[in-house]
Amino acid sequence: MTRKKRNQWRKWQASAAATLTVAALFQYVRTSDAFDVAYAAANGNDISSTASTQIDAQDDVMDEWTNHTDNSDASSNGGNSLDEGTTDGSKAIGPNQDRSSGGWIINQNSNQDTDSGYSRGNYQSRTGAS
Amino acid sequence: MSRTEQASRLLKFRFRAMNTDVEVQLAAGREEAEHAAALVKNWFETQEQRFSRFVADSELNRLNRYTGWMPISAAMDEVLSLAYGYIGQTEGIFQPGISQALRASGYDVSFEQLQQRGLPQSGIERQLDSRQSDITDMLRDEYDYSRPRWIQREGSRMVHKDPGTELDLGGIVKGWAVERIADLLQRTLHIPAGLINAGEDIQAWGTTLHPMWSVQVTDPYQEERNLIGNIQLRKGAIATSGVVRRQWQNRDGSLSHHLIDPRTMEPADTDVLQCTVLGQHTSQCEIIAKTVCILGSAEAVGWLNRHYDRHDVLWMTRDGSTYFRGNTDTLAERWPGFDLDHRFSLI
Repeated sequence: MTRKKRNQWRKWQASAAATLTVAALFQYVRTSDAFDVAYAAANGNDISSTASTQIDAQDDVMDEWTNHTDNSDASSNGGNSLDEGTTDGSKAIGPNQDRSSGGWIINQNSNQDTDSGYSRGNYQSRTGAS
Repeated sequence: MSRTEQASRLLKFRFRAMNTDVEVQLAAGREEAEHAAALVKNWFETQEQRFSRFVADSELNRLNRYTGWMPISAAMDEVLSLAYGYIGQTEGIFQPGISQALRASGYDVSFEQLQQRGLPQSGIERQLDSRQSDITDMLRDEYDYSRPRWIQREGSRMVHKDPGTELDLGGIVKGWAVERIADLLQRTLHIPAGLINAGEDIQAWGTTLHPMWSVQVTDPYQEERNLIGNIQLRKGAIATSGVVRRQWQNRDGSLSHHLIDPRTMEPADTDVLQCTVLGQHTSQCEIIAKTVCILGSAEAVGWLNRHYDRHDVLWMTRDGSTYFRGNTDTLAERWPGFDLDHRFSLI
C-alpha cells in the first residue's frame, strides 16, 4: 500500500514537473521576438512593428547605411530647400561628415522668429494620391 | 516664451527623391534640424539608388537580372521580408512580381518621363506588343498571384527568384523608407516631434507639449484643392493611394494607371479613385490603401473585415461617394469635417 502511494506520488511529481517545464518553455517562446513576428504574420497584423522590435538590438539596415555613407560622398545638401526663402553658408552635418548646407530654405511663416532662424510650424501637411 | 512654445517650434525642409517631393518638419534647434534633414535626404537618395527600377545599376535591377541565389543587402532583405508578409495579409493583391505587367501597361519609365512622352510613339507600341506576350505567358502558366515569387534563406541574406520573375518594390519602399528614417530621428536623434512626408506617405510623431498634426487630404481630381475635412493625429502614419494622378493615355485612347491587379495583370478595374489610411506604420498604411484601390469598395470591405483590420480607411469612388471604415467612436476627433456617405464600423 505504501509502495503504491509512493509510486502515485512519483507519477504526480513527474507529471507536475513536465507541466511546469512545458509552461516555462511556452512562456520563453511566447516572450521571444520570433514568436511575436510569427504570431503577427499569422494574424496579418503589424508585422512591421514586431520587425522593428527585433531591429532594436542590432539594426543591420542602419549600420549598412552608415557604413555606405562613410565610404561615399553622396550626402550633399545641394538641391534641398529649407523654407525660409534664403540660402546661407551655415553648416549641416551629413552622416558622419560636415557638409555645406547651401540650398536649404526655411519656411517663411507669418509668425516666425526670423532672428533665430526658426519658423513657427503650423503642424500641417497634405496627403493625396501620388 | 513658454516651454510649450519653445518645444513646438518647427523647421521645415523640402527636397526631391524617389521621383517625389519629400517634406521634413522637425521640432529641433536649427543646427540639429539641419543635421537631421541632411541625414533624411541622404537616406532617401541611398534607398532610391538601391530600389529604383529606373536606375540601371540599382540592386533591384541587378536582382531582376540575376538567376540563382543572390546575396542581397540588409535593406533589400528587410523590404523583401516585409513584402512577403504583406502578400499574405492582402491575399496576394499586393504582389511585387508585377514588374513586367507595369511595363506592359506602359509604365516603363519614371512617371515624369511618362508625362513628358505623352501618347505612346510607334517604337513604344512595338515594345508594348512584345511585352504583352510575356504577361499572356504568365497568365497561361496559371500564375498564382497569391504567393511570393521568391524565397529568402533565413539568416543568410540570400534570395532566389522564380524563373522569369521581375520584382517591383515601388509599392512598399517609400512607406518603409519614411517609417525607418522617422524611427531613427525619434529614437537615435531624440527629436521630440516631427513629420516626414514622402509623396504624401506620412509618419508623424510628437508629445503632449506639441500641437496635434493636421493633415489635409487632397482632391483626387485637383491636386491644388483639399477635400473638406482633415486628419488629426499626435503620432502615427498616413498613406494615400489612387488611380487618378499616375494615369496615362494608351494609343487606343483608353487610360491606364499604375495600380496593377495581379489577378488580371492589368491596371485595376475599380470604382475607388483614392484611398487614405490612418494607422501606426506608413508601409502598412500604404499597402492597405493600394489594396482597397485595387479591390474596389465591395471587395475591400469584405477583405478588411476578414482580417479584422483596425486601421481607419477613407476612400472616394467614381460616383462621388465617400466611404469610411474604421473606429467610428473616434471618427469626429480624428477625421473632423468629412462628409461621409457610407460608414462601416470595426468588427
